[in-house]
Amino acid sequence: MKLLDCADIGKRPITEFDYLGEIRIPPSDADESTWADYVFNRNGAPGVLRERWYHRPTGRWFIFERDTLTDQIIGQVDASEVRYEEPHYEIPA
Amino acid sequence: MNANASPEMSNLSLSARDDLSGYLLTGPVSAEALAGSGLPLPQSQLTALELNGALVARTGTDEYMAFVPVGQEWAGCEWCFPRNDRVLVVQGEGWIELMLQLCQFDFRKMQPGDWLMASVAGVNCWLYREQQGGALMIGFDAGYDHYLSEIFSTLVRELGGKDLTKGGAL
Repeated sequence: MKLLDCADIGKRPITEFDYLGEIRIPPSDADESTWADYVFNRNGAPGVLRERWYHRPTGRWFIFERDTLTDQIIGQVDASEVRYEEPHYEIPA
Repeated sequence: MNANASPEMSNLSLSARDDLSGYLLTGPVSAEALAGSGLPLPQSQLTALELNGALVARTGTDEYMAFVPVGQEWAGCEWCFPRNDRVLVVQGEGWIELMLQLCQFDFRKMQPGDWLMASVAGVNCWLYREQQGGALMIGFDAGYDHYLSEIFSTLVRELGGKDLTKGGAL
């Protein structure tokens, strides 16, 4: 059984969580090629990712840093560290 | 299910609590509404308090789950929503053995007065150990009642206990 150690709720089985993927911050005020790269491309190389995990029984979100090579959770990240402003869109006339 | 379970009778029992009305309170006035109604107010998140038959758990910064005896009048608040939880109660020796078959939490750590939100047989549940007697309350969306009641009933009988949700008949 694989356990995730969370600050608020202690060690919980990974089966109680939903994986919501890597946190990727949109490139505000970028040109089209940068946006296309953001939307369509992913870096699949092994490394440390910041990922969202949702704990269903408590309804709480967690952000973990996970090494995708070893599949080890390195630590928990405060949500304020990954907060970003919504990109500003101009709607074409 | 445990095919090797002892068929000997034990004092393990399964019952249901139909005498509680559940509510979810949220928003900046939730704590004020609880205090104003004479209900207990847990200070820490994911803890619960009992008072005069009512149970209140703090599930977020300004979010609470309250279970009050049916018929007890209380003020509530604008952001107070009724819940439709089914509440089962497991009591007696062997409750830890029973729960170990359904949930991956280490129940040896769970003391009277402790509140837990965990997955039980794949269903999101809240669990609370009563202060007096140490019975384990298990609350969940009533839509899962048939599924979970059957599982609990089967396990309680396998462990030599009584299912009191069906009139006590075995």
